[in-house]
Amino acid sequence: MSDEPLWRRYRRFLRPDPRRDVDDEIAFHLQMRIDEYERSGHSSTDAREEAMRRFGNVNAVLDECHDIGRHRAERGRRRWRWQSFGQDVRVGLRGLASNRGFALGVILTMAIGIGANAAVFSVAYGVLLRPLPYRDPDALVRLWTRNVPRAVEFFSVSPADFREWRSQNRVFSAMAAYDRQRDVALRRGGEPEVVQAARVSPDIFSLLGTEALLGRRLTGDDARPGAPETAVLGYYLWQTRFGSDSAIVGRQVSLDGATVTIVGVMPPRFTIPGTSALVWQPMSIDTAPADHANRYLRVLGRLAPGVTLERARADLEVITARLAREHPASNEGWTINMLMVSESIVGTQFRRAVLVLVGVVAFVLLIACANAANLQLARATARRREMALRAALGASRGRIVTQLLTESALLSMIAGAVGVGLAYGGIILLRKVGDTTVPRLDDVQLDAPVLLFSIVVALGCSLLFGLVPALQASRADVGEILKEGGRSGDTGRGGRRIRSALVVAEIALSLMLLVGAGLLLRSFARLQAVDVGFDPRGAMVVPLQAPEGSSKEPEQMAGFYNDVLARARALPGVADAAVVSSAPFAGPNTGLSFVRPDRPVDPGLLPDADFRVITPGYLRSLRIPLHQGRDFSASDRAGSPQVALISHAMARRYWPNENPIGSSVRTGDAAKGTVYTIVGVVGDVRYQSLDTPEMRPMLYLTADQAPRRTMSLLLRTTNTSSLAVALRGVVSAVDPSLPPPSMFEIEQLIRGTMAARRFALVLLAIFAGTALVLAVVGIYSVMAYAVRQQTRELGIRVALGAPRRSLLAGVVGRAARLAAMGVVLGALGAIMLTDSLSGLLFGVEPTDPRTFVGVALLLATVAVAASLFPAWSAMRADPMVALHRSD
Amino acid sequence: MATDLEFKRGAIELLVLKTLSWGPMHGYAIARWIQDTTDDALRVEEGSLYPALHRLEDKGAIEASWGLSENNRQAKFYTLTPRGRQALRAEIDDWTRYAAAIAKVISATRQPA
Repeated sequence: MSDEPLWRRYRRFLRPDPRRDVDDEIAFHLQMRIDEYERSGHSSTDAREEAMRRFGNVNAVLDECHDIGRHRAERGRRRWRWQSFGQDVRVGLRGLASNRGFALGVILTMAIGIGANAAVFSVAYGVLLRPLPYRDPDALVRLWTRNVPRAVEFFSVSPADFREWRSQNRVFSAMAAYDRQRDVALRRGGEPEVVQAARVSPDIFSLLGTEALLGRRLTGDDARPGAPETAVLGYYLWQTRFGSDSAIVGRQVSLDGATVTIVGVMPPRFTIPGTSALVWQPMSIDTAPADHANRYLRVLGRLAPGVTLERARADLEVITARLAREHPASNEGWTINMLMVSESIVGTQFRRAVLVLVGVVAFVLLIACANAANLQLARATARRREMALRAALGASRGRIVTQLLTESALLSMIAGAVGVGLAYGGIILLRKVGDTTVPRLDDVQLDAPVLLFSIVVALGCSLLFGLVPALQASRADVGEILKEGGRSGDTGRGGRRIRSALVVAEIALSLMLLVGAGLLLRSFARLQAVDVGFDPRGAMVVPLQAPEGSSKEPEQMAGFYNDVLARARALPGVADAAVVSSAPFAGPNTGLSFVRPDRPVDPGLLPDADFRVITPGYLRSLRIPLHQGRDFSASDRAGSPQVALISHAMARRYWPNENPIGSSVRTGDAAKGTVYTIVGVVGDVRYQSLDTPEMRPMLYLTADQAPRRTMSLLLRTTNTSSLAVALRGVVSAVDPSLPPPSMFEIEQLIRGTMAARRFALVLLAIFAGTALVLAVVGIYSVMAYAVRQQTRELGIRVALGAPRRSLLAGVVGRAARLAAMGVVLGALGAIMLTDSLSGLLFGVEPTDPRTFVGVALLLATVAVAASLFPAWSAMRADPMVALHRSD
Repeated sequence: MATDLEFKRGAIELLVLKTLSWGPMHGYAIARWIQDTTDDALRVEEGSLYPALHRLEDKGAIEASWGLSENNRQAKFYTLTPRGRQALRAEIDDWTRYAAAIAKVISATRQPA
């Protein structure tokens, strides 16, 4: 009746096969038709032909039916996958809810790890990665001059040099220059206020490629001689000082007494790299001085498409070499230096600090993952029966792994959400720690890239801490486990080895972090112990500027400062006062070249020294020791013999084994410069930074003989409570047109120079502490778990008469072994990694043995201490309880 | 032509649903029933029945299961689902209204104005 083999009838019970179904169904139809035709008397060939004719195009029908079947099967598979995923999620949530302690442990641990990463990533992104607010910012370059023989790496550029660079280079599509920012008195009716302004060549705006928010940018016409004075405002200044007044464009304000029309406002976040100015005024490069030695400009360039920094450097070096040949007196030894703007904004120290932190939090995350994996392993052991039962009921290994991984992912996502919350708090903390000293910190926020990063990290972690336990659980031998009868044993030797390895890894990672924190801490202590050469306690700096116009009358400038000084000295709470051209840690460095008239040298090889202009009493006010000779006095006036003081370093270097008192020194031009007689040698003072190893030579001139318009008032105070108000009175009494002065504590300014280190130290200390706590929790939980697993064994040993103390020693000994391994591995890792810290260290070797030994002892102690409690409970193991335990 | 195809498809699906409303049947039985009921007037190509059946199965209007035919062979039997029964009612309503409208037109006695 049918040539169908019998087995095919039952084939479908094994597995559905939609393709075969269609074929069979249509074959059945045709066969029925053929049978029918045969029954009505057709020959078998006729019957087949007739049946086919009646059916139509068999192949087309088959194809269409196969298509429908395929689509259907696909949809079904997709639906099934979602259903099983939903089921995994439901089962996972139920499992976590029934085991809250475990869930809470993993979530907290992971939240700390993920939170730390999200916070630090947001800093790294905001400070280092977020694009600068310019068109194609990666083509922007800052340029300096450089003089290797004089150890000058980054120096300003003279307008004369700049003009040559701009017209002759073949590598920049545009070049623009600007001035150092200066304090100006901004007045728009009412009280004047001090703001920072800079003169810029107008094309700098088109070079940066940022459009104005309101009004227009500066143009070449604004810089033309005789053009009306114009200025563009920065967004922040516009917001704070002008109340975001949109009618500001076209209004006039007074800048340092001159009437200036505001023509535009730039958008938020826009600044000109390398200057903190928020008011920009036009400057004409073409009418600037032609003297090649007059270096005062800052320079930006935009690389032409396809040009690398290296090629640009080579091209400019050709130009500077030619300039050095043509103008040896001014350009001998001067070449070029350049940095990408993105690198110049965030200093290398901060870049390094942030990168170190990124590495550090990755370690914290690894430790957190190790802990979570440990908890998962412990839990997987407890759930072996459940998993074995599932396997016995037909769940495939893949299905079980998927379910366990779903659980891990659930935990991770919850932890990620909590972690992002922690990160939010962390960023607020970071802002406090970094305050104003961390560049671009206001660009740091929890935004889409940071959240995306956190999600990826969380999912990655769930694989990291979930995969090994899941594979372990799925590999379990079903028969063995079910035979064990209610008792849940260890996952065996393999499980224990994995947990031990995780603890060793945690200790090693913690050690590396603690070593890093320790090294930074010691550097910081060393740095704070650096002798600055003066007594900063109670010393205040008040930057001032003599009124506009006085610069033409040197006596007037000197008179202004003498007047302010006399009034300031009379203020209550002021013990002493002096005036200095640039106070320690409160102003730019100033230097000049000099020569001993009795030892002439080549003009290109003139030595140089830093110099400061001071008033008599400066040494006394800062308690700078006088080694030899005398201080300046009131009798060193304009017109009397020109005198100078030199620092100890200068005396030692240029008057070795000689008495410099009475010698003379010529400054500036080697032939025509002013000659000063040295009347005293004073102690070395650190003016710029704490960590430069060598003291630069310093020359002091007296204010009456070398007056300057911009100076700082230096006060030695005993009480600063109402000083700011009193100073305001002093300045307006001397000249009512001057803006109220600001006042800075020198101690505060010194602390500011340590900002990058403090930033790195505080954060590294916090993270290392976190790592230590996580590691302790990890050690404790593994030991406690091991003891619980061995309760039976321990009980039997007690029953057989083993001394309880030996049990204690066994547990503690195991912890100590793990700690020792972790410490050794960690120390090796730390030796390899601490090199990356070297830029942040000061006075400490990256392999400082004291730090290593101290941290190793700390970790070993903590590890052993963490095992004491489990060991103690092992010692108290009651044989009866232990033998009857069946959980 | 496309409308023609749509029309034929709709018609076949309606016939299938109606046929199955008497009870579970395999494809050949459905073809036979349509043939007998219409006195073979429709002359549907029997092959086009199967894509229609599979589409209806896909939509959830009918369900299929394998069983033994009256002559003891493996055959795929189709059953109307509740959703299919609902669809059948709606289709019948549509067709009746449509047929009535056509009937009115062809039996019209007045010439268009």
